[in-house]
Amino acid sequence: MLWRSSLRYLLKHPLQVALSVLGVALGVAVVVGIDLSIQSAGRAFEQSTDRVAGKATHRVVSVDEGLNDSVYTHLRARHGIRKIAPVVEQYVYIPGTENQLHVMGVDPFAEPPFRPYLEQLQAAEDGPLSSFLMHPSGAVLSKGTADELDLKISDTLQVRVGDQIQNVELIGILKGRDQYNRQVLEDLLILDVSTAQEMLGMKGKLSYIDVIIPQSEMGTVKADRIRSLLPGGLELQRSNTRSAAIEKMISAFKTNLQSLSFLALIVGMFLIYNTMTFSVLQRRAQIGRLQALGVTRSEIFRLILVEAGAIGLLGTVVGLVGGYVLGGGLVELVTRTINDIYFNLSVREVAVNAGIILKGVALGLGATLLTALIPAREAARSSPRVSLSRSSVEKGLLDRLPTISAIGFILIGVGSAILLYPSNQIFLGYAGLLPVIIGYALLTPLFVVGMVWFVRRGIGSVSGLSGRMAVQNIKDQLSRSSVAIAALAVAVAATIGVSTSISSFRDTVENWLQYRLQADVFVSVPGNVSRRQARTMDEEVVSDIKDLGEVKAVHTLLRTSRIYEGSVVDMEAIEITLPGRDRYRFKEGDPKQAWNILEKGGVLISEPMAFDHEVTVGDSINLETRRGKRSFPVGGVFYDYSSDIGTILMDRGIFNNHYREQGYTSFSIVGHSNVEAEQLTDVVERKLANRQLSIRSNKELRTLSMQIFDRTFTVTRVLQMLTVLVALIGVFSALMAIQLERTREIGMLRALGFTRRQISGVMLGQTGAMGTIAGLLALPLGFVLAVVLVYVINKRSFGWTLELAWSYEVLWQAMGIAVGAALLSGLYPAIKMAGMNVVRALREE
Amino acid sequence: MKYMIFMNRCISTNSIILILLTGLLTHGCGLSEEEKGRSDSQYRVSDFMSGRDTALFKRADKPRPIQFPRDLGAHPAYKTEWWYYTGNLSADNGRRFGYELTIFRSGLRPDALKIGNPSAWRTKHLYMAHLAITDAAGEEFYSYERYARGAAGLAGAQSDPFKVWLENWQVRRGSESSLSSGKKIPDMLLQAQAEPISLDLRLQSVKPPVLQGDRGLDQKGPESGNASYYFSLTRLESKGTLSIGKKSFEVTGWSWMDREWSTSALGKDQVGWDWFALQLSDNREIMYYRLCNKDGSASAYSNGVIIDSTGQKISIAPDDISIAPQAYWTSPTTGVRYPVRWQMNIPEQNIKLEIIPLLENQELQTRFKYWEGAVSIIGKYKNETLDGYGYVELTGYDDEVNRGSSKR
Repeated sequence: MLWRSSLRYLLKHPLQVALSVLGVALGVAVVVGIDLSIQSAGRAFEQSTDRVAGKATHRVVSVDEGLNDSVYTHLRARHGIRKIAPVVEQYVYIPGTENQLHVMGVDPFAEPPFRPYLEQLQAAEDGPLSSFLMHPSGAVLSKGTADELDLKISDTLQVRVGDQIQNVELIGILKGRDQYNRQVLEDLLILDVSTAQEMLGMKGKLSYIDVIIPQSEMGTVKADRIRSLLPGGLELQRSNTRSAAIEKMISAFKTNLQSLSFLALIVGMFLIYNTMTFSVLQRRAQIGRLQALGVTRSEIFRLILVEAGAIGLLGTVVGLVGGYVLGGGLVELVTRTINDIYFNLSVREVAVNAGIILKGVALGLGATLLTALIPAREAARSSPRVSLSRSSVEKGLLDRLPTISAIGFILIGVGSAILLYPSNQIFLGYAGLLPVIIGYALLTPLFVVGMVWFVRRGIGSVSGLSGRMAVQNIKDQLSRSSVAIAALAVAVAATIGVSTSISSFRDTVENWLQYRLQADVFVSVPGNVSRRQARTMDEEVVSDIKDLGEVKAVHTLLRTSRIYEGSVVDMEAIEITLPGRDRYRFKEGDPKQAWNILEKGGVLISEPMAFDHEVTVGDSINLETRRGKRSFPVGGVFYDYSSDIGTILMDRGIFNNHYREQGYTSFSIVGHSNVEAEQLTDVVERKLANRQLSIRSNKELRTLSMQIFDRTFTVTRVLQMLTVLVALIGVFSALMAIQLERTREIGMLRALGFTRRQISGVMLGQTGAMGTIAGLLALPLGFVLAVVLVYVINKRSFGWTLELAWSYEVLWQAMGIAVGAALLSGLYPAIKMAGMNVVRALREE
Repeated sequence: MKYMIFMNRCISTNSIILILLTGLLTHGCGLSEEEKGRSDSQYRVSDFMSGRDTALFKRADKPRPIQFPRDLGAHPAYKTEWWYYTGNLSADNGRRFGYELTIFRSGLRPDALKIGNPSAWRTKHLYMAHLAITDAAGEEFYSYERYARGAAGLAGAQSDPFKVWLENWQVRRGSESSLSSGKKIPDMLLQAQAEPISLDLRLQSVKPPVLQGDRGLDQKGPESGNASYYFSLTRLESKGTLSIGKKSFEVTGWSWMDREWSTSALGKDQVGWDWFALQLSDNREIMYYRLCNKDGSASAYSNGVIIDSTGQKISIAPDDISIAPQAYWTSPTTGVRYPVRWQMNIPEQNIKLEIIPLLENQELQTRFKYWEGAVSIIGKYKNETLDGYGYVELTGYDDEVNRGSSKR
């Protein structure tokens, strides 16, 4: 009977239940969706690492990317070291698109122990291996990629390598022997070493040498032997060293996304709490009757929890499905961001795993049950007689107001302490934020009571009876209204915080671009503006431009990467004349001295680099060079928002002494003062017409940079919107519950002669007031969130100094969202109530 | 081995490619049955016999002066060639060893390269090498193979100073002074290792090179061009170190080198090959090869020589010799049955020899398996006792049908 009554109740309030389920579902969906997208990106990354490493355990790498192929011959032919394989590796583009192919130049004779997927070559007519070795541009693709590009054997494919278009001819197709192998092969363009060297302009060079070293004593001996045979500037490292370093690049990015997704769940929890509280309150009479009939407290407690569990379960299932769908969309956004700012990645599928599903279930069910605990206890605790009256509950809350508020203050205090604790842990940032948010939410009842008192005293007389009633009602129904208000306030505060931090970021970057991009025309190897390029331009391009009459100065840049203390960092070698130097602004160090140190063989480092590795002016950093480890004094720390992994700036001349990398990845051109920027762009474009280079004017590059910036934050904005959506559902369901519960009261009012319009006015006035209170509450919290995001989370994630850009627009928007959302959710009950049958309403109870 | 892979089985093109490809294809078993069927037919040997690209190579169709050191080096104008070293060694304590080190070159299409400034890895040649050691007392037979492109310093051959190598398996000219004494053939250092064996020998030729066939042009089939250029160093004094695992032996003995290059040698009907290289105690050597026809009969192009102590050669025609198997051994790995003991009679020369393997199991466990092993010889010349050591190579026995085993 107990369960049937429960079921009957739930069925009688389908909308209520549906909204709760939706709330849980959305919360779970957001968390699962984010997890899935991150996981899929991670898996794709692992696969791309796998396909490159194969069975290699180690690799011989150069400190400056690329090593002489004679090293390989030396090891193999001279010293008889087997189980090593040469690799020439690079990314090339399908011309006119951002689609990339991953070029692997391999020696088929050395491959068998390494990359099992190369075992099988489906042949062109005259023997694939022969063509593979002999064909000047012969290449092999996977079946999937060939189909995607619509290529058959002996078709020609154009690829862009650096600034050149090259033709490759498909001479073989590899069919992976299972799903995994097929995935591993995706986007792989396999060439012979010779073809790869020729095509990629890497004659005499290898990207690295793969090595298999057994995990044994003999393995150690072998490793030592190889090390002893390597010339200076080369090292033998574990295969996963670099991929681990690369994976580290996106860890901050991952943490932030996951934290934001968590926020949605927290807001979802408010919603569940609200629903369960409501269902308890609404059935207080029924529960009282049940108790009178001899049902024990623990049975009631269990009943409520089971109900919550059912809602949680349903919500979780819907949430998991929704999360999968959402994940599919998010994975694209996440991948694009990773591609924009970190490294090349193509994600082909959403990788579902048991861990994510379990996490979703645990969160959905766990959060539901956890939040239902309070109302369940409430229901079980009340005596039959008291249960029958609702006001007792409200009275209870008012009585407990000091306690709840005190807890709120304590939580805020704890959170603040965690936030203020000096640390670099992003996790601690969020760990501090959570108690602040919850503590603040617990202060909501106090705030509501205060507001109501204030409003009644201040404006109550002005807005007449309906107005007073509306406001008083909020207080009277404090237990539910404050939860709804808190949920709305948190969501709106999140909106304020996230928007403000993004706009702060945006303003800072825009300002930085102002002085960083001072030249008139920028030329770079096509691809993403921010990401390092595999292939460079040669000297000739630069000297061609320098010779132009319109050109006053050319500043070149070679951007590459290094592993510094286990992390990937960017390294930029610059050739820059005095007037070009003011494009760097220093956070630490005197500019004059900084440049002086740079010229004399020191380095300048970017703010994230200084932050991540805790180095500053006066320190030295140790870098592997061709001639072993060298120490470089740090002359200054400059502001830089182009890379969150940190940048080391070195003078090109000094760089050339230590490393062999040639060419440039980009250069900027300053025209003579009498030359129009457009004219200069034209001249440069004409001069470089036969090369595949990106030539952009100052304005274009700035616009493009901001576009990428905005694109990067799409995921963040999507999450923010989802959070608000969860909150809206919460508010909607809470308000509806409150209003629907007042059926009898409203009926009475109608009977007393209140017009429909007046009734609607009361109801909308009430929700509007709640919205306003939520909006007002959200402002300080939003401010705190913005400050924490900008100064704590961002700083710890990326090491950037941002200027907090406080915009009134955001505040008005937030207020608008709060009030608008509240009014909207009051609309349905208002219409319903206004049009109700008075007699039936009065008879209801 | 030599003719099996390089001339018979894959007469025209792509011989190593076929080997490699077969390896690549069968290694992972990534093919469905249906695909397997297709690729088998796709790579049927006959497909590689079009002669389309052999036409681009020179053919061994007329005698041509053999010169030193030039002809020790590579002949890229011809499709195939090899440097074939075998030898019988004994340690101080009398322990007997046999060794084989062979390096093959196979030319890819010589017209295919049209690259202005090619990568050092760009290649026209594939190299393959086999290494085997027979340890008679230890009753162990070790065999290894390697492949490499003839580029980037990984494999290659040059005449002056002589060097042929595949990775760190190599034979190269010893000290320069060894040439100054007016000898045509320099001292050679032979070095090869593969866990757990290692070989390090100095080879000194004590007889002049023997030009096989007609002044070095050795006809293998009826058509013009079905021949090879072929010379042998039949008595190389050998001294050095042979190691197996942690055991190292100072060894001395005699080695034999065959040098052969061609484009297309065997005729279509020839499927196998028994080859004997015998070094007798009276300072004479016998080389004889018997080409086997599909029907199991010996080809009329089988032939051989006896080299006397001064290096003069006496030709042996098929009619001059009888070779009769005395015992067989069946390989547990391949199931192929090889004759492993022979009675060789050359009546006109009054030579009667019993040829006995040091071990029965001397089948190379390489991609294409064949038997090539060290043998000892006991026999008679006229009425005097004769003994010696040598090497025997047996190919084509895996194809009993082709070989017509019933007749053997």
